[in-house]
Amino acid sequence: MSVFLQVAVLWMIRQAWLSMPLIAAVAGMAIAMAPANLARGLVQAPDLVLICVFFWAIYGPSFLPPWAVFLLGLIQDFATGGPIGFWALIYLTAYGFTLSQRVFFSGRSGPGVWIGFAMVASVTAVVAWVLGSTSYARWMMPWAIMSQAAVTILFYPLVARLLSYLRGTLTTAREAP
Amino acid sequence: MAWDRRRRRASETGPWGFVAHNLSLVSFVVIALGVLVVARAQGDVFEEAREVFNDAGAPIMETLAVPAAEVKRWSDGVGSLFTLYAENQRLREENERLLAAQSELAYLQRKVLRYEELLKAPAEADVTSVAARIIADATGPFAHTVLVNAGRAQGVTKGQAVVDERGLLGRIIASGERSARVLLLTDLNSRIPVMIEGDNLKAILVGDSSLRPVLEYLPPGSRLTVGARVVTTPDGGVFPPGVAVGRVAAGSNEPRVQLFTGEGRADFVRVLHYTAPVDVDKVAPEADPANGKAGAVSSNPVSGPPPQAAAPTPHAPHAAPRQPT
Repeated sequence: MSVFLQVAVLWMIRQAWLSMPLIAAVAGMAIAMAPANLARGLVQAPDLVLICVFFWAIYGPSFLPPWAVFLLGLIQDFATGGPIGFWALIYLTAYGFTLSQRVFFSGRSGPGVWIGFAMVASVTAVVAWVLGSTSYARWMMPWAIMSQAAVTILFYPLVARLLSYLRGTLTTAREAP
Repeated sequence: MAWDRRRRRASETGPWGFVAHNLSLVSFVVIALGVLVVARAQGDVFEEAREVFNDAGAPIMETLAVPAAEVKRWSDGVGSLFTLYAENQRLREENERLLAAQSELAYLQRKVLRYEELLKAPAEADVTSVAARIIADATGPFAHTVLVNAGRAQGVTKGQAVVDERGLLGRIIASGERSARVLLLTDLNSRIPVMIEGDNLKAILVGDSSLRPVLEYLPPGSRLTVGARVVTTPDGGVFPPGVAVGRVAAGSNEPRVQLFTGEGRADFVRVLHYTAPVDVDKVAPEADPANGKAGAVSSNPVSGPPPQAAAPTPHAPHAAPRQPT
């Protein structure tokens, strides 16, 4: 009996640990929203969720499946007070775009993937601008979106390094499914 | 074999192959699009869910706000190290100016009190406030909102004005039990009635995601003085009159306002409880003559004679004594 209990507890811990990519993304979102206000409102906070979405789309989509990306987007929508479904759609688009280009990223070194992320972040910014202009029914000023994309691209290597450590605890495979 | 592989690849690549391999992704995209359309068509559908979410997230964000405040204190401290001398000089000059203004203020206060007594002016509507802490700053390229740790339990309700020590920050758009969301003046959905002091013009301050919101619906042919103070008006019975908002900014094609709360952000804010004594919309048409007289004794910060553009209605709340209902 105690063996079964042990197995059950271990299984639960394993499952909880497997959801770490999602938890880490939510934690990143919460940290970016903490009111430290280091940039004095002049530049945007980095979009850490986008980095997570890109990273897991390349290095293991099974650790952050589409439903988790959708959930992350919904949480972002609720947390920012914007229209519900807005960020969910943007993150799913970024996830899908990265997945479709995955073959170009696999096996590349750090700077190569960084350039890839810059490309995905730029495409996401354009999608966000179009969707924002449609959704808010007025032309958005592209400056804010561009500045957030730039800050996010700058933050990519640091966050990707942290996520690589997390991935190391989840799988040892070079190419996770 | 090789031929088979080529044929399989041909069927698996391309957009349709991608869709076939990522059906769950495509279905979630469709769901997200549906949710977005519903949310835009009927904004109130998710209101309750938002309040529940805010209340659930508030304790986590409140915990995170403590180290964030410490980080902010450190970064402010490091930043001010480099400008210590200049800051000291500026504060000395400001102190001298304020000391001079203080005696004048006391004199003017006595004078206003005496006039009010002479004219038997009714008391103003009370504006009380609740102090709250900003626990989450969700300022992104689209939404500009913050979360504060006061909700219905503290008497915070939708529509109330939120100020910090410098001026107006925004208004409450969703109020949970222990937390509330503040729509900042810079948000795309923010529209508040304001008055430009000195020029005595009324306008709507419209947020457009930039640090300087735009003044719209100005009377045709109106001329603005750069640097003129912009304050709230009680039109619509939402904001108390005379709350400082900003100054008319220079150097842009459209009239913009440099907000007093523009850069940086306070840790603590005040949520103002203001009850318009009368329903302005209902009373305005027939109460114009009476209000015109009462307007002269109101404590609206704009002391000059009201021009044609500025209807006397904003003075109505002061003129009518508060009746218990």
